[in-house]
Amino acid sequence: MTSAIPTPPAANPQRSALRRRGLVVVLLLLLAAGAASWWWYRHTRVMTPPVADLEGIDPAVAAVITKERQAVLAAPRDASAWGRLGEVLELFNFRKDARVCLMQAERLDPEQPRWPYHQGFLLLWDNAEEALPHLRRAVELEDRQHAGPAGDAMRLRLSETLLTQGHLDEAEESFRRLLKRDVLNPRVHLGLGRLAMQRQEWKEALSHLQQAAADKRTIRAATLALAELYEQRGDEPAAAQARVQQEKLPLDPSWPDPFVDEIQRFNTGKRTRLMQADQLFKQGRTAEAIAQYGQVVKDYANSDEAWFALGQALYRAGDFASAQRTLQKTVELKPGYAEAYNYLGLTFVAQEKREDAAASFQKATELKKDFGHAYFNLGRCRLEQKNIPAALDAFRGAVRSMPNYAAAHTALAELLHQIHQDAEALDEVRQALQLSPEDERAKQLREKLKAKK
Amino acid sequence: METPNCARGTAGASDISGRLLRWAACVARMEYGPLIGVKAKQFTTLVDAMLRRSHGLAVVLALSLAAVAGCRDAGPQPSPAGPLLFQDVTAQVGLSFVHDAGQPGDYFMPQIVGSGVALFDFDNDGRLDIYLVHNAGPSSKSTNRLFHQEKDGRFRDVSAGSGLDIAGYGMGVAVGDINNDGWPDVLVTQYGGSRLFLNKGSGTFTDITRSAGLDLVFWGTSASFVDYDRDGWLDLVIVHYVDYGPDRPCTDIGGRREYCPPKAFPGTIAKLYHNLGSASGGRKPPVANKQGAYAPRSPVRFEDVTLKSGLGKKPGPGLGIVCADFNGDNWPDILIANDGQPNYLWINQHDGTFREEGLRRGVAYNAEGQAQANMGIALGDVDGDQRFDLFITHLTEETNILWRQTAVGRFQDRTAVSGLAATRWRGTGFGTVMADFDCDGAPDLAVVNGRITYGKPPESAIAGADVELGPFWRHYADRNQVFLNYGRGTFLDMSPANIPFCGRPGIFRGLACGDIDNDGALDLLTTCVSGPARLFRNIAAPRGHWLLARAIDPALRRDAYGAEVTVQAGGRRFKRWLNPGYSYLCSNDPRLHFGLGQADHVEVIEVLWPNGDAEEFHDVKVDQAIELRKGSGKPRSPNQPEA
Repeated sequence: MTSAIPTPPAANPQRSALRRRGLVVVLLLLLAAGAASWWWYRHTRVMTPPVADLEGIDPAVAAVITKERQAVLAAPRDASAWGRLGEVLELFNFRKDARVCLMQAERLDPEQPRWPYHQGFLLLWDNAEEALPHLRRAVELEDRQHAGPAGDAMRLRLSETLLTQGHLDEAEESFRRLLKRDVLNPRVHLGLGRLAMQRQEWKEALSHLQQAAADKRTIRAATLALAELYEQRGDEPAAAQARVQQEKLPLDPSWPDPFVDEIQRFNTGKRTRLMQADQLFKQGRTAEAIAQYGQVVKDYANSDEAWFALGQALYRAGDFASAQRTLQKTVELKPGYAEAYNYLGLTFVAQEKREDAAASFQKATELKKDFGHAYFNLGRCRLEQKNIPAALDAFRGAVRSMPNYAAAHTALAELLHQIHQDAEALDEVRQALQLSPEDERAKQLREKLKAKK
Repeated sequence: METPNCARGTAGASDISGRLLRWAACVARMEYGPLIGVKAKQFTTLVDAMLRRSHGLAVVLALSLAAVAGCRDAGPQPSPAGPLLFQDVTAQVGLSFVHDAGQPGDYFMPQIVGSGVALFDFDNDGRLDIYLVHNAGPSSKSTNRLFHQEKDGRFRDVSAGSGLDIAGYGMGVAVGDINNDGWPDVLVTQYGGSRLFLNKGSGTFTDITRSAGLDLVFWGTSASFVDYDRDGWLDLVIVHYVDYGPDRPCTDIGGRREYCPPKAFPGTIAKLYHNLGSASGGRKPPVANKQGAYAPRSPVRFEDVTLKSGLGKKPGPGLGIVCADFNGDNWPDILIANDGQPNYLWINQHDGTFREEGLRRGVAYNAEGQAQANMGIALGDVDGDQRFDLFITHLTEETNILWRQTAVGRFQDRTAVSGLAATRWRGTGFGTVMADFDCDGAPDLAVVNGRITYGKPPESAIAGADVELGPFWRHYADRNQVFLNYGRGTFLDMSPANIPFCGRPGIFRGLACGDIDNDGALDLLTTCVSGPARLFRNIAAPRGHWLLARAIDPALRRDAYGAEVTVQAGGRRFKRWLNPGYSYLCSNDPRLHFGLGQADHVEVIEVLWPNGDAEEFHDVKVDQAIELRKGSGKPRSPNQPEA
């Protein structure tokens, strides 16, 4: 008798395959769901805005940052609030925190080109190559939505970054797209000219650079590039001419970028306000400038920097008595402020208080042993006081500290001549003329000394 | 060498899903650096089999992985993989020096400029010694340190009584034998007056600043000895920074105290001092005393020829210097790197005067016509055309620039096409050297970085290294970089693979280069503001053949600064220029190092001596240190100078 051992039913290959496929489908669905959840989480989750390290920051600046951060906390899904905080942080150099905010702004509003643009702009500081994807994305969005002058500024920055990073073909295409819209854009011609120079296509480069040099907005940069181009082509006279020309030209004005310029609306604080006052002063708006300095002094009463700036402005405006008081307040706040003592001395000179002036200049030289201008001013003071040995010491100090200051050599030479030390005087006057060959006083003295010799 | 390109996918990917997965792995590897890179690579291999079974799965996995890696922000990057070039042997060799920069938070500008180092053999025992500079002021207890290299390769502090153990706001060091007695002398630049020391040959130095007629009041930075008039006596050029007033407060845009930028102060002039040689007027060789030390016949004297030479006409915030023949006329010229202003290239007019031709020769500005914050300078022939090229370091937001010498005396900014614009990371560069680390015949690049403004410190790849600097200074830290030249002047960023040299954040300033262990491979020494000096031994493998050459003029008893040496080996020509004054605030090994690649014999060595004489040397074996002594080679006619 045999006993039958039950055998397991044979596996159905079709069923098994079906089960495996089903498993794969389920797995796929699960993974897809997981990926979708992850995507959703990354793009819509509510983040806490970064806390910038505000230690040592100007209170006015801290207030602006805090205000914009509060706005984000109040509306954490508002892309504009995140973007504004990012811009404020960008302005005040909290670049990593700014990027976090701008990335969140972009997640919440992926169609807004300014957020990737600002991210790209920030990355230009640290790694231009990493900035490129952001700039490309911004340009693409801007082109799709507006394609206006603001977009041109974005594309221009992208084109120039591509050029700097050596992506010549893409840079050319980008520049040419700009050129189609504005055939005379000098900045585009400058870029195309530089690009052609990198490819050593001299004729093409010349054509673009000449067009750029014809526009006052790019004349200096284009002339400089032309000088190099002529050098490379072996045209030394043209290169020399271009070099001479560019040295006489003022700096090209900065190119407007509405996206970067607009963040200036958040600018505040002592430094900014002092800079604004400086600008007013340079523009000849003296009264407005002094009022602005005065306001800063009022708001930052213990700032020696603000008091000094006001003192300088008052001196330059000719209000010597007020300048004197202001500078005295400056050195009261900061007793080691050599530059303030020098200016204080100048206010005394202007008021013909020679003794006080000399004391101030002396103090400045004691505080800063190589303070050439203070030595020079002291020398002139001592000379007027008929204190020849002291004047001689001071002028020697000036020459030692500022060997490239022709006036100091001339002053020393004149004094040496006065005390009949003609050999040394001739040596000094020669040095003065090496530095300033057309100095009439020095020339006359040299002739006199030569004749005497 | 593995060089994945994430944009195109790894070679061999035959389908879309495979490419996606490999791309995602590649992105993940780039994002998390070389450590995870290994895992990602293994992961890529593992899932290859899965790909054959389910393309959909691969797509989903790829997208998920890419999302995790934050691939939206990752652009195409060079591979982090590559050879390990250096090993930190600071502790192993007993080099113990922590830079004293004074009180943190003073915002005293010289602090942030940092201090340099000299690699030189002060006792002529054939081994490089080290001189490191402090920056804590003249009343500080931290005095500069002189380390002697012992026979076993360890360094012994021999500062006490050496005469070089001075305190001050120390900046740079220049080394040269000013009295032709065979012993290298030392100049230390400082804020508040530089100092010159004569090597007495007994391991001690004497301060001869005053007696030599040097009136050094400016803020000296880099300096170099150069025989500009070819009279056989080394002259001295000192670069000066700005007319700084510590009383002026500087803030960043947010009103926070910060180190002043150079534009806050007027620049100052570089000074040139002519070595008068023997005051008696003769050029008689010095006589040796009983100990074998040579004493000069008369005191060393220098004459200030700054104004006479023309250098006094153009002030600027100078930081770096290199002296070499820039226009092929066999006379040394002077290049000065200015911080935020155009560089000055002073071309020797052969009559004791110089003419500034930086703009004319293309080194004043970068390709965009901008004057950048020029700091350290490296010089070398990156493309093998027998003309030296220049590499100058700049701020993070700028680009370090490689100027190629496209024709004799003509330079062009070729940074982007050399692969040096798209680096793995950027930093504010200071010291830099161009040297053939793997001896393949193509000079490579090393750059040390450190911020000048407050910022978030980078993450350290070395545990604990980020806290080494303390709470104040760590905000100024940056990471170093190293680039391998893979022929004809195109570079690959090897920084991520070189964690010992590049992974430790610091406020690096000085970078000196030399063959410290005499093994034919160039080692590096870094200095760091308020941090330790570090010695990195070259461990690159495999390395090519090499030659280490010292060019000496026996009549002058010293290294022939200004000599140009060309080695022809394996049908290739390798050219080097002798002057140890390059990088930033540093003096380097004066010997010339040649990586020869596969060439196993030298056909000829040609030397163009500083006075214009030319000789050639034959029968030289590779993989050795040699001395090329003027007069012992076969005379040859020098190349015709440029018309």
